[in-house]
Amino acid sequence: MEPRLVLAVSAVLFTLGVLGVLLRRGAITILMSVELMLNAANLAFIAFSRQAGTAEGQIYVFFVMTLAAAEAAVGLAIVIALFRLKGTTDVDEVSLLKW
Amino acid sequence: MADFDLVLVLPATALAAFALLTLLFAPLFRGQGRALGGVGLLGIAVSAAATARLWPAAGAGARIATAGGMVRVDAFGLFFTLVLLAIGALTVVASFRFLEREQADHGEFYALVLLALAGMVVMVQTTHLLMVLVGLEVFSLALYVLTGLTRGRARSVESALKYFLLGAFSSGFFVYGLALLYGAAGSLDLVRIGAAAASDPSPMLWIGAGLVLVGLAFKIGVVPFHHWIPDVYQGAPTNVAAFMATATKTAAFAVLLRFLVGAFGPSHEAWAPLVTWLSILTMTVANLVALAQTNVKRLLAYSSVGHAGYLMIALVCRPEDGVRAILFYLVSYAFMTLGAFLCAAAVGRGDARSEPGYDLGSWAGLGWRRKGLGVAMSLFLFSLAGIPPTAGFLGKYVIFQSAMRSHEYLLAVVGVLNAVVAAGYYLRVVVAIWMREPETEEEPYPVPVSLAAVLVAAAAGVLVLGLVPGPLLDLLGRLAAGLV
Repeated sequence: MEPRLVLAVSAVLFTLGVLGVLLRRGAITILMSVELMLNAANLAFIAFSRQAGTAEGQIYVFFVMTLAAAEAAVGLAIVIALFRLKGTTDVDEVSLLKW
Repeated sequence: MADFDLVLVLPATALAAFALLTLLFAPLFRGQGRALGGVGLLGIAVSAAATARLWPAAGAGARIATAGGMVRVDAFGLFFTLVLLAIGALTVVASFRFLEREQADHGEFYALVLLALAGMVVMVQTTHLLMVLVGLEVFSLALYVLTGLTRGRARSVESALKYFLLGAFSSGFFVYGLALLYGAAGSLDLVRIGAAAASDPSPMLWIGAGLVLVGLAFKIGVVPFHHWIPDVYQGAPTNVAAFMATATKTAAFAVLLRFLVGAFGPSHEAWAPLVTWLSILTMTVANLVALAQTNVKRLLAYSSVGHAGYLMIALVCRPEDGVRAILFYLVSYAFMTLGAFLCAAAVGRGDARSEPGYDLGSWAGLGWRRKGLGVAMSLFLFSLAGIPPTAGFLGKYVIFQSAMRSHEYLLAVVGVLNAVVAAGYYLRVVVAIWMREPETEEEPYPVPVSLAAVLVAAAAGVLVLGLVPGPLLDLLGRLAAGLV
């Protein structure tokens, strides 16, 4: 497949992720949108790697995947801790501190 | 692997190993966090010894690379490692009694501080952006958890969630920026990226660099990416806020220096106007908003944003002056901010629902009831305000001097004006400490010996740097040469 096309898809995914973070109010949905941004970057890494004919970019993807997994683990733990205290994960309801 | 030298990566790996050791022992020492703190302190000492051992080899200006060029040992990185380890050690000692008082005496605290330090050390000892990303994420994840450490307090957990969501969002930008830089330069090594920026800068390269800068600006708290700072510093346990405010900024500025002044140094004209305006915006917004704060933690948070603005002045200056100014300012900033936050920790009375101890009112007349604490806090605030003979004064002096030498008159003028505004809110706290009648009959907390020792050390640092800055300035001038 044409790398240019893959890059276009990756840019669209990234934009969707950014919009998701900015527009959605549920903590879990925001986390999913961030994952979308990271995966858009992964797609771009693979496309560039293929374009350049080296494997470097594909190896970077494994790093990003690991980081995304660690991030999800910590993030979900924080969401659970907050849910136990407040009974909600909606970021607008969490208002002790101004958002 | 032929080119993997364990000795060269020991500063970071020792920290990580001791962090795991601390975690392993944590269940055996429930309720005796201090024992684990001792293990953590030992880890920091081992890492510092490993760093000091590398110093003679790298101090001569050599750049030793290992692990396929992913780790680079040079005097610049080693210096930052030592500063970060010092901040870590002071935080650990100051936390012994504080965590017991806050009923958050989890041994995991020390493991997380060590992991955060390991991430930062990885970040400053490399010129490869993938390693920067790994270090950035390791320390960020540790800090998200540390922010929510007092997990019975809604304020703490909420600020952890806020920090996490915004932090993850900013890492998204950082990672995408890396992908674009990789596409444009064919590598994530700053040397190669710098070469590509100098020879054929494509739009993709600039967009990638911009996204990476957004990620870093978030960590440093540059306006308009600063919104999380006051809330997170206020919500986090105060010792964690002290650590975040100093260590994060130090590590992120190390990367920013390597990235902007090092790799993108030749294209100075392209980014200098942007950084100039961000610096002006950061200083002015932070200092004006800080004037209206009545919570000491929030006030110090805005103050830390303002100091990021002063530091950015020197980014724009000629590297031969500016880099030295930034390094000196970061060291003095670390001492005075750590000290001020830990004084706040010593005073701050609070429970799960509210923390009245951090309101300015509860500081009224404190100086006469706890003289040592009052003197220490006043010293740190004088230093933050930039009043001689403190480190803060000299830090500002070096920065404004480098701005004048580089003919950045606008920045120098705005910087001085901001320093005047900032003095207003720092002195307001000093006035409350000494010149107002106490508002409550409640006796202030006694200051534990461990915390007092850290405050004395920080105060000594502020005074020594303010009175005899010569040796450090000479050393830093030589470090500035080896950025990339």
